Amino acid sequence: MKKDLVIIGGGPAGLAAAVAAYDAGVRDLVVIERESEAGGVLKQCIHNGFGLTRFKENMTGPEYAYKFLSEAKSRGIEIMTGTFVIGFAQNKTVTCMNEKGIFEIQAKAVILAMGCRERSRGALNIAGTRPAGVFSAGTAQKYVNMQGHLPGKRVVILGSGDIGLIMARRMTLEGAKVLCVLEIMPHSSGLRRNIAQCLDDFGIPLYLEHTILKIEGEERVTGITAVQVDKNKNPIPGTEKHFDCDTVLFSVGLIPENELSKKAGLVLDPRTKGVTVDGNRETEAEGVFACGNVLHVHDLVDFVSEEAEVAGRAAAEYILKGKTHKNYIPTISGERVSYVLPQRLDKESNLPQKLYFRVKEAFRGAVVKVEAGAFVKTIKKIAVAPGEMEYVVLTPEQIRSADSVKISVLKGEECDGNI
Amino acid sequence: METYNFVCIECPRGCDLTVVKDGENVQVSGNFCPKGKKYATDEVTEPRRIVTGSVRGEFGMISVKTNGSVKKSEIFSVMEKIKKVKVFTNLKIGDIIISNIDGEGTDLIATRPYENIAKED
Repeated sequence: MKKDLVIIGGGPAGLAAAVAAYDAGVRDLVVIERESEAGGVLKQCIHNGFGLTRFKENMTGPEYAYKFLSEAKSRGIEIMTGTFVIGFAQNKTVTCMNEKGIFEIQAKAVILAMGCRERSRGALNIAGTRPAGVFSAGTAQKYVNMQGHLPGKRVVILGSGDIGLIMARRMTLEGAKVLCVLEIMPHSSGLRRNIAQCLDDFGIPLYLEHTILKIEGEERVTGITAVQVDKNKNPIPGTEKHFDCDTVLFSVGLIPENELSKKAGLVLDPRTKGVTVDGNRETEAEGVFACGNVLHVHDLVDFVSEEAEVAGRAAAEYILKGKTHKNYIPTISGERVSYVLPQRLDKESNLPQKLYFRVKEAFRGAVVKVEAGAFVKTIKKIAVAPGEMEYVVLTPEQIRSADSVKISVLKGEECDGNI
Repeated sequence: METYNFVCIECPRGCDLTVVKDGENVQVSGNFCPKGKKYATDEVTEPRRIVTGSVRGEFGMISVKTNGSVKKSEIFSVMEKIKKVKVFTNLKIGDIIISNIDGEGTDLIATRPYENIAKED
């Protein structure tokens, strides 16, 4: 089979990329989706709060997903559901498998939109037995919201990422008792509003600088031992607390799902755990683009859609106009910045470039400093936190005269008088 | 006179709100937009929340929400009603599942389309 464009993944990134590519002139395209219905994780994110940034509308996850799904369907974009991509190569051959068998699609361009996976208990080396009742927060979310099963009655949640916080509220609403949320860091990695509306509303305690020392139980979880940790995240003896519970949820981070990218020989950025891209979201392999959580984990789907549209339009341009000359400069993570995406920018590009970045620590009174050659700008921020992605926008002119773009985050007192 | 501090839940910005309440007089500061002012005022007078959940359909769960905010004190009684419903008809987004769920005119509506037919998988 031959296609102009193959999009791997029918979640919010894949759907938005498909619609943008279609609107930019690509007609021969297909979205490959492994589940029976497109929409990705949004189908199980039944809470509200989606779309506020982009549509100024307070939507639930399914509403947001179906908005894009109906955009795709109204354009007649083919979505091949129940189909699993088992391999892709840099020459843009995509190998798929579904109930009809294994087949190859030769594409002119490929967009990677596989999303991410949850880190599991195994990634944390937590001691104890292996009883039933230990779930990742996202798995529990699927059980509760899509299958109608409550995984347990007395719950401890490890990790205060957004999914953990959302599940603390959901389990409470569905009749379970959430005893506490434990967070190893001195700050939550979730959005502040989620601590307010998911924990504070229901009186669920959040223990910062705490982790699970041990999970207990033979057939089923019977309890856990929590412990406070020091600055090096080592348990402090004598601070152990025991909780009787039947369920433990892990919300300990998301990892971009890059098995296919790795097999195709693309190099991953150790900071984002995704492939490296330019402003068009084109990877090091020509005609292969990536967007959404497979590239870097976003906090808000609004930014996923926006990034996917950049990739979709760029893939369309590549298909319709062919390869263009590129003149790359790197983006550099300065002081207190854990990563900047994209990793490189094309000086020849005529488009404004939105650079996403994350800070390493949470504090109030921050100043973002952007240095692009002779152009320097500073932006004041009331507060920054690792859990809240930030961005700056640069014009093509600002990039054209630079040899690199560096983003740093300073504390207010470090630059008094200089801004 | 009482002073309260809240994190605004109206959008991802998460403003730090300070509310000074002196009898009927409520002063809000720290809000970036009017939604924050309304949220903070409601929080010290009558806190309200949108409730979301899922109801049983013949062939799977259907996600739902209240089409406006309900009194925070009513959240669990709304949830009890959500848990008892079973749906046997086809639905599209926005269709009413329980009308006037909170006794104040707020309806429970579907947030996903639902076809009342068995799907393989």
